[in-house]
Amino acid sequence: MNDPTRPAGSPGPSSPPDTKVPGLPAELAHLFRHSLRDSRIHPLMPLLQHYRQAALDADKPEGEAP
Amino acid sequence: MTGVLLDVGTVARRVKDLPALPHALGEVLAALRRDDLHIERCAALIERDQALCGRTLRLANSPFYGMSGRIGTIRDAIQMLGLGTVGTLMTAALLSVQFDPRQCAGFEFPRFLRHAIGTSIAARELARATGHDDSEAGLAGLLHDVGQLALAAYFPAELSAALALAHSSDCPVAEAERALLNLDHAEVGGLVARHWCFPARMAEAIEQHHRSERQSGPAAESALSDIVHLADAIAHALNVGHDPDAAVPAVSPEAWARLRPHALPMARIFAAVEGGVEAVCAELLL
Repeated sequence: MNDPTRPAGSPGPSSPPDTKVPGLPAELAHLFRHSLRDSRIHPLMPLLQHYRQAALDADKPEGEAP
Repeated sequence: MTGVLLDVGTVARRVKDLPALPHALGEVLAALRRDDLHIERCAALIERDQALCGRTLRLANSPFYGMSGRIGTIRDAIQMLGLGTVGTLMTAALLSVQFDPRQCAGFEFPRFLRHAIGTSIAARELARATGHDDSEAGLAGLLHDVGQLALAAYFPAELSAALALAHSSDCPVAEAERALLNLDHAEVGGLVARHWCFPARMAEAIEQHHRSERQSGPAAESALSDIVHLADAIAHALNVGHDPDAAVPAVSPEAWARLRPHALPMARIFAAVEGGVEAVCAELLL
């Protein structure tokens, strides 16, 4: 039975995003799941993805390929 | 669970009964808004409170600021940290005694405060990068969710039900609040800000920070509203609150177009938010 108090369009707990973005880390996929579920790319997502990747690259030992 | 649990009138009547701001907080907020809080006066306010004194000195000497062990006086600490950061520390400490949200199941004050501090730093950085008043933006960011704190303190069962609904439905908290309470914490924040006589544009920025999720209502157009709206999304995107249910709220396309984040040093802003939150929260034991 539908919950009458459930906000319209909300899918229920633990719904995975409907849209998969290649190379998107799981942490960001989780944080941006609402827009991904609506098949939208949140404008902050690519900026965050770049920021997290740059941090990972900076942590790699010198000489290791990015 | 059935029916709407609250209405705007009931909340507005409760907000009108809120006590006035503690004198020290009112003084700091007013001075920061006017941008005329002098270092001597700020130092005097901090020195009245031993706990705040210790936190300010420890923060100034924390590794994040690179001056470990070299800051010995409150005056030096304020000069090094800047009045905006010190104001954040004072406001956060004083907010925690103004509201008692412990009766609200599901509401976690440390998580709330970490997010508020992250939004404050993001707002201050965005304001600096776009040539706006960073003190006002920092304060509005810090207080943007004050409506949720008020709901947690004065309507704990109702907010707890909304938080549970947001969790079980995996929807934004503001959306669950509107479904269940017929208003959201941003609207309540607007009521609190007006009750405390904040400037109109700061009250509007607090009231409108979830505007893009609403179906109706006036669109905010001030730069301060845009900044707080985007700063809230940034703090969620960095998940500085360490909330397992965190989700980045939608951003208004109009606000995005006006602020033009692609032309701003966003990586530097993200790093400032993450580093600043850890430094301030370590002193607040969060």
